Amino acid sequence: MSPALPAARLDGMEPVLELKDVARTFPRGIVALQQVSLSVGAGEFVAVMGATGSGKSTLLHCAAGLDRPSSGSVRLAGREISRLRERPLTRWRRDRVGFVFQSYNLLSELTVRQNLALPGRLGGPRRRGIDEVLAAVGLQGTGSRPVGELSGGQRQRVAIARALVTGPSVIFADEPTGALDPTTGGQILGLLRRAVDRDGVTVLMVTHDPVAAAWSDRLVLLRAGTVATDAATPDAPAIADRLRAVSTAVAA
Amino acid sequence: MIRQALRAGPWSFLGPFSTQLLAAALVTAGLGITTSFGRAPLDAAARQALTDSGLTEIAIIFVMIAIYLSIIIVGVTMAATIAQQARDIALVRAIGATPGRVRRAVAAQAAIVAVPATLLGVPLGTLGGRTWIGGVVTHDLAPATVTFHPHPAALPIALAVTVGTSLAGALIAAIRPSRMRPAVALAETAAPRRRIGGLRTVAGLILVTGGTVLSITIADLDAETTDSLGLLVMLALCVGAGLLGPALLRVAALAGRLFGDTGRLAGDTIAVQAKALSSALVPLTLAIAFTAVKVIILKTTEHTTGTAPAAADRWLEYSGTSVYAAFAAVAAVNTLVTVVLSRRRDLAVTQLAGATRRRALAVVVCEALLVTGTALVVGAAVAATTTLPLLHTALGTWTPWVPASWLLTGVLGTTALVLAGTALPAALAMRRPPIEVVG
Repeated sequence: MSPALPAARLDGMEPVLELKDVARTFPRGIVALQQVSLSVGAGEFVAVMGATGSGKSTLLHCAAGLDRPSSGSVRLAGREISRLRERPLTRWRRDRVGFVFQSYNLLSELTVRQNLALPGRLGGPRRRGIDEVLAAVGLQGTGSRPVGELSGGQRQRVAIARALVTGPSVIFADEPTGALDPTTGGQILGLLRRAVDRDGVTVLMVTHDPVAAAWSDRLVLLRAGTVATDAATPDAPAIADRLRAVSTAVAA
Repeated sequence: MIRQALRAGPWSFLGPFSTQLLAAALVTAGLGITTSFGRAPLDAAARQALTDSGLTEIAIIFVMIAIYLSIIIVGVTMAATIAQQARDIALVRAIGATPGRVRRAVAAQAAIVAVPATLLGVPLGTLGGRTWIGGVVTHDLAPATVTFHPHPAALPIALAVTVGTSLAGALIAAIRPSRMRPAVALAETAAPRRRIGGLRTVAGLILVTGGTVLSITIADLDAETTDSLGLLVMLALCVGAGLLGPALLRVAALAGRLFGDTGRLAGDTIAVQAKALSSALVPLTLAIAFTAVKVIILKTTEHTTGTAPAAADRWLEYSGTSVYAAFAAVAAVNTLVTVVLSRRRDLAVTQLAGATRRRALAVVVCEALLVTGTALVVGAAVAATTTLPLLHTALGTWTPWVPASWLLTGVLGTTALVLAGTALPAALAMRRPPIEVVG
């Protein structure tokens, strides 16, 4: 199905994330995903794009174990998770996966430090120090401030720091720059890029912004719940063209 | 805005609604009982006997307590509900609502909830009053000619109490959010002030000190005065403790550190939720203190004098207390439910950060235990301050005595109550997938 096989598979390495024939149907017969297969190797930065309703968020939720596919299989960090029970699934997610959301999803009344301590206190791994990740996202000295007092860009940095503190294999990012201005958004994407390049983290990012997608290595375009194209990421104007092509194809 | 508030948070009005209903019932029952004694067809000797038995006086005290309790508890629950709306208030202020308009809308909400609650509460109170009078007759505390007569003005009086206190509670809670500049208000709902207001602290300290001083002063007065003033001491101490609640809960939050990671997390949450939780602390402390004071006085008297009161007297003493305690307990549970449900999103965020449902629930249970501990310590302190001088005057002892089994029942009962108001709604709220809740 994929026109270009990912590098990791060619190297003979086991992919970090592998979806096989994943379909997701919602009640009342709405089909969000049909027969999606995707294989992501370690240290890849993948952007998933598509028109509204093309199934990109559903893909992220199924891949990350936040939702269950109706059929098909999902292997995440070497374990089949699509039929895992809720508790082992949550633990698996907690220990291998980090999340960054458009709406930050931090506990805004708690301080930055308390938010970063959260995964560890919930039983997750403490592979990296809080001060170290704070420095890595450029937030030294804000540890004792309540998250609610911070700007949007700073909050998203906290969210990235919280995703990094457990030393995850994969970070799932759902429109991480959706609520930010282009400059601040660029800084956030730079942090994700650095996590890939320096720490070897795999990033799967859903976005509707071609400029954001241009930071990735590989671009997956969805159309009506199927993979339309899957190839190395071109520059931003070319991404915009391709996105327009798959979006109008649906409308036509 | 009123409709929006009622529709968006029907659960948050459960607290005020049920306390208003029970308050109306209590006031109606109390008034009915007084009327029933007054209107009973008795000859002079029988009436004298009734007055001597102290029942008429008990009925008047019942009405007094019902009104005091209603004012405090309805006011606190209504204020807590309006405080939860701070963000909505900031939003409508931002789109052009004047402070006066916000206050009118808030007042209307209070009245809209209070009127139906009272209309339901009055028949309930009539039923309760009838049952109580029946109990008095069955226990031979009054002649069988005493039958239940509802008070002719029960409905308007109950309405005045519930609507009046709801309005007062709601308007006091709305002062700050309605006056603030919208931009500041919006910023503050994202990061609420952690500081405790100076006025609040001063008022709390005055009530606690005043209550303590009064308790010591009245110890040497005659038994009757002491009894009625003892009630004031207890109410002052409970409300004072409620005002100092945020500070007390922050101390409790530190205790959370003794219970590992889950405890630390619970402690952090309690520290930031201290103000909202304080609204539950007032009725919780009242329930504990009311029960404890009665039990301590009766049991210590039994223990010191070696004589047990007659079954009928015991029934009389405990029936009133259990009604007040139940009223306060219902209010406490409702307020806790409101606080927990307003945190549904936070619970989902915790789950997304890697908490299994069991782990997230463990944090909530740990919070519940810390709140229970605080309420028990405060309740015990209030009960001790209220009863010790009384015991010393009446029995010449400074040592209260309560059977261990009763103490254990009290601790377990309080814990069960707090868990019912926190862990249960949290468990139900977490049945939805977290990504749906935050989405």
